[in-house]
Amino acid sequence: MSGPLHRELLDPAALNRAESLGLLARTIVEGYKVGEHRSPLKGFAIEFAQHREYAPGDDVRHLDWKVLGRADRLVLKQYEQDTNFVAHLLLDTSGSMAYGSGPVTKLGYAKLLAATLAHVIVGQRDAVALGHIGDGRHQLLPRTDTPQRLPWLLEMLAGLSPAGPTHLAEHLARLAPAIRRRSLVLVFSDFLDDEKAFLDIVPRLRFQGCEVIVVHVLDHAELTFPFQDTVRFEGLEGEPSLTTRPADFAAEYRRAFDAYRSEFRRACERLDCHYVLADTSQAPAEVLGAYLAFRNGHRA
Amino acid sequence: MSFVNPAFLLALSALALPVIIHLLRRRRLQVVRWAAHRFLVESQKRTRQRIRFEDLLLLLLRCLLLALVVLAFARPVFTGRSGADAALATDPAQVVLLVDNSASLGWTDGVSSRLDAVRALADAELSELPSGATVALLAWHDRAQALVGRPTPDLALVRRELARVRPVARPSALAPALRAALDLLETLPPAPRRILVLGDRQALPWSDETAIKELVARAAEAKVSLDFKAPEAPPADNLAVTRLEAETAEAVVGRPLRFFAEVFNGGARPAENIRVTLGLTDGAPVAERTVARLEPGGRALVEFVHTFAAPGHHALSARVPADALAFDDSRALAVRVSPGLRVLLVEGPTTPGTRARPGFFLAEALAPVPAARKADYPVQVERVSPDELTPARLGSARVVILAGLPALAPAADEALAAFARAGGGVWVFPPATEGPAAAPSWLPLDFGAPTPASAPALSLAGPPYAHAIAALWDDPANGDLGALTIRRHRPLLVRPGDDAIAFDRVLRFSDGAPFLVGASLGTGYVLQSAVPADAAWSDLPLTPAFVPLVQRALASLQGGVAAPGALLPGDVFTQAVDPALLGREFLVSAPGRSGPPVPAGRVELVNGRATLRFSATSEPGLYRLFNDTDETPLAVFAVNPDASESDLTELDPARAALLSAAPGEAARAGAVSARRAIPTWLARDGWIVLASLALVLALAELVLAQRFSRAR
Repeated sequence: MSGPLHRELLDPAALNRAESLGLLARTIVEGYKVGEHRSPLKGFAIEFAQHREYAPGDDVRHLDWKVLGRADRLVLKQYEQDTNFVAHLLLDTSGSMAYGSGPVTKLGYAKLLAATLAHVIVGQRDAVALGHIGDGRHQLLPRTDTPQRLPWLLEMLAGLSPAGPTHLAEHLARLAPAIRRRSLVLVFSDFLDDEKAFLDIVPRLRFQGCEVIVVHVLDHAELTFPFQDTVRFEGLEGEPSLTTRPADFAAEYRRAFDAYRSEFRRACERLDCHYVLADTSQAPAEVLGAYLAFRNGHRA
Repeated sequence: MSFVNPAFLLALSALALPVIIHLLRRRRLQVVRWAAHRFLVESQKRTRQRIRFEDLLLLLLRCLLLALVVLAFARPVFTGRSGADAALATDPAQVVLLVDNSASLGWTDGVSSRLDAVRALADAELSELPSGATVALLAWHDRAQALVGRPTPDLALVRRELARVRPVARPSALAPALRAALDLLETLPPAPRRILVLGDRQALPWSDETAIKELVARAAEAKVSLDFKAPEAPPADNLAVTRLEAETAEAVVGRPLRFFAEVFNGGARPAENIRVTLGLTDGAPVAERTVARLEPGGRALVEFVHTFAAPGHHALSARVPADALAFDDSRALAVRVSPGLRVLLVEGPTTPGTRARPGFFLAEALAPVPAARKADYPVQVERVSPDELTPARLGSARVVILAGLPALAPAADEALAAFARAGGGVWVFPPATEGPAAAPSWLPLDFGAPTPASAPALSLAGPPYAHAIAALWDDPANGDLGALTIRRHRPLLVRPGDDAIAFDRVLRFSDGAPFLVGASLGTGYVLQSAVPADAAWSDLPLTPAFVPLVQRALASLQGGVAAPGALLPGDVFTQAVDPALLGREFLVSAPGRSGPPVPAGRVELVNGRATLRFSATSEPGLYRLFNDTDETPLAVFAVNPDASESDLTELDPARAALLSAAPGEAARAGAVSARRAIPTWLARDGWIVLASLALVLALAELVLAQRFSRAR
């Protein structure tokens, strides 16, 4: 990996911490660790198991040239092997993710977390698929399982910019068919759009056997609401601007925001999702380290 | 409600401050692009009503707090009414306190003065006033001076002003004070009204009984009650110097000058062996006389002679031994001493039937010394004919006397008028001829045709004489001008027309017609006589009074117009000065103030003339005015107390009873009614209530502001 962009995205401290702890799949994703389980999934190894249709993003090295020659069809050879899981890193790139009271925006912070995780996951010979939802659009990029493809993935990640409204649940519902069954789905968002609709989609993903991890990316100012004097708040997703004295209702705001966050967290836990609060004022290593430590302990 | 310090109400404009701060807080804007908008809207919506209420409450509290503080500083006093339909009798009384501060109130027994006793009496009266009564305070002597100009319920203020009252060395007259008090009360809304006169028992202020009676009637018509109260005082002794004057207003170096001091016994008992001293104000006594005995009300004229060795301004004072009333124990006099005096005597043709020229007696009276000594005499007389009356001669003379000229040549007339206007003195005697005699147009009166030779002889009116020239003969010991015989004269006639020249009647015939008149002309002075200066028509030149009359007239003509010591404390001194001094600052050295002279004003242009005008003459004594570069005074004058105030004759109780009137009962009844309407503490100390309220509001604001900010 080279270039300033990659260095920016890959926080070395976070990377070390994540690598040392390892990323452990929780339940259904059987092949979370090579040699530890026999994966029912088909990977890319020595014993041939079956063919499957080529899909964009698949490594062309695994094309069955004979079938191509005979039948002019693009199929891949699949082998029974200790296989890896696929982690879908879905980033919310709506306008609200552009907010940042400090040097980094919420989207920037989410990118950092996603890049770190991608590096770790790919380093474990698992696959990463990057997706983003925002500005009324969504996209799920081909999965990557080789370190050589990592710069490309990071390049794509770095190119994401915040804009427009979210409609997270709507687009996640459209993406769901493309998400591999029994994969890991990490959703990086501030969930300020319509968290209830999002929570309605989660059971569907769970039904597909996916483990859903909700990474709630919030700016520290959104949690503490530290403003004084008179402030004109301008909406990032087209909301009308509001001029007010924040000090007058800061306590009420904090109370409402805490209630929302607690409720959201409890709802996630009811759906058997992990909820990770990513406060942009904290170092990404701390956030990831704490979560992975929790995850490790949970598994043990 | 009224205010003791209404000027503080201007501070109410500070009420704008909290409002401005409130608005400014809203204007200091920070722009934030914000994601969690929905929480913002919800939270704000939920708190908006409460916040708005809290903000308004705090704003109101702060404005109210500020207003209360300002009102407390303005010291309101509540007069209140018992109801909207309150009748006149239920209104609080309006009292005007008239406190005598004339010079006689300075009489002291060594411990306390009459004014102290009057103050104590006033204080007792104020204490007895019911709450709600409003009081104005006027100090009076011959004028009324408003110390508390509008009736106020703030009696503390009245007491403070009362403590500041000091005796003024001026005479006392009750009528002007009563008039001022009535004028004041009549401008106020209807209420029970009362005038309370406080003073000593001196009879002098009550001397104008007619005016007092008129004012009592006016008070009765206006339903104003009148009261007079005076503290008890033992019969007082008082010796005073009531007059001090020089024989002439301007002395001449080396020439003995006579001074006359009048001693008056204003006390209740005879005085014996009264020592009277004459002294230079800044030095030792120069002469002393003793008056053997003086009955109560008696006067004695004491004569001194003094010779000045140097020209310039000199000051003298006559003094009697110090007594209980100090203001009149001495009297000051300013004397201007000139090195010499040149008189131009212009004589007409010799009067038929006489051998001497018309100015013969005048020349002798002007320099009444033997011929051998005339050259050394301070008054130098030059006798000239009308043709010799040239501007050059006028330039060297101080006084010009025209004796027996039927008419003046136009050029001479003009030159002489200019001479007088520039400060010179002119004395005109008519000719003792049958023909017409034309008085110059700048003289106040015209000469009429001579009275017939067959007409009965006339004499002059006797004392008192108002003019300084004749004042010497107020004392019969100095002779009797009434003994003169005037066989013929030229009547002095008023000229027709509106622009008549104002003149003083120096001496009058026994029938009241003017015999000798004087008038100011420019900065000079002119005298006009009805008889010639020789013995053709009268025996005036042959009487002993002629020389002093000429000498005193000469003094007036040479510049001493004003009677010495005529200024009373508080009067304005004016004197024409060299036009070159116009606009220049002048300094004053005043009595009772040591150290170098201090700036007192600038030479002003008054009626086209450069004039010294000085009004800070409250202290009796000697004043010296200097210009800012010269150590020689521009003017020296004495301010003396009024002599009439020395008379401590007690007031007749019958006169004091003039001021008792029935409406006083209504005033007292109204005051009692007002007592029920307004509590005393509120009426007098309303500001304490406001200050306490402000304190409570400040605490409430503090607690609420703290509580509101914590809730947010």
